[in-house]
Amino acid sequence: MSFTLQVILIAAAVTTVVWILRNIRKFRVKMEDAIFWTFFAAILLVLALFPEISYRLSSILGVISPANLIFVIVIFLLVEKIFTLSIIVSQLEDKIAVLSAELALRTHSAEQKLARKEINKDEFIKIETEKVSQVE
Amino acid sequence: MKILILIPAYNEAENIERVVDNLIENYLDYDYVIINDGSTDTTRKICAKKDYNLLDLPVNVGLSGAIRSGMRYANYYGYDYVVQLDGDGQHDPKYIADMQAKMQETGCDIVIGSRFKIKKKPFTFRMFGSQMLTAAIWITTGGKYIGDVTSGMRLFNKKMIKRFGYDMHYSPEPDTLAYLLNCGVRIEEVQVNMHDRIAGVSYLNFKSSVWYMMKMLFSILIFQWVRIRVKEAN
Repeated sequence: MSFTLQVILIAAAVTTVVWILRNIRKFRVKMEDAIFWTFFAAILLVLALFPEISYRLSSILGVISPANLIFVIVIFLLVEKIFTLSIIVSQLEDKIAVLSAELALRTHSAEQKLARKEINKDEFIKIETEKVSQVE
Repeated sequence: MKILILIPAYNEAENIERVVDNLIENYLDYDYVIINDGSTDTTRKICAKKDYNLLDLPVNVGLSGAIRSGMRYANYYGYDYVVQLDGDGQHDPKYIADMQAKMQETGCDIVIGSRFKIKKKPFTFRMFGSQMLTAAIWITTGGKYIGDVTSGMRLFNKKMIKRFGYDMHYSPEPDTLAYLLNCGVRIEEVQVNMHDRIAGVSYLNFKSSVWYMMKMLFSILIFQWVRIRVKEAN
């Protein structure tokens, strides 16, 4: 592993830590993500400070250059992150769809309620109970 | 002096009726609101049928989101105090009076209904975790002791209603307690007894509790130091 790569890894680790701490300071990042990036930075730092680890690992795994092994590790971590992020985004999209549908439904039902002011309470409770929301 | 009981409920169809009927029959002095956190069972239907006061969230947002909605409700309708009670009936409303008395007497901002104010913690795996969090808070807040860090039975005053309802990232978790203590918020505890769950299952299993502990310890021991502290003037 070249000295340059070592320096780049250390710089990347330090930048990651500083960046994540700044965001935590302003309450902009969730604890789960903060823990992930802290570990990410820690792994980069360990690999940079102790090149023997990547030499040993690459000889065990049959990877020719230890630098390649480091790239593989980083790519693996990032792919994992992208994968979880894409799942979260899908769920968020779904939630927005449900939210807007429910908002429209409930506004509609509130308007109907206003239109039928003379409705008695038992009838009202019956209507409320008969409504179906989501999967219940 | 208006007090609101906040009942976050996620899939509590088996319990919610018992909990709320008890409130309506025996505790007429308190107003209550159920926050239905996008339950997938019949929780909403039961509440509609019995004509309970219900805030019905269309999607599941998790406990902290549900609490935030409840705090906004409290602020919107001008309540001075909020008590959080779980929808599974673990918490007995008879202790609310004690908690209120404690708040008046000490002028603190949060009163926690603690299982371990007078009584000792039993020696189980879960309590070992609880003790670790107590220790972590003790270390990072300069010797402030909170026995029951995970208790969901809490009384909040107006200042805390605003914080929990309108500021970002105030989860009802132990790390928030540590952070608030360092902001100069005063927290007291009152001894309560909690019932075991009668129906349904607790959501904490071994794997998720290890992850939970790691999150909390990271948050309390490390990340807390870099957060901006919004000081409370006392």
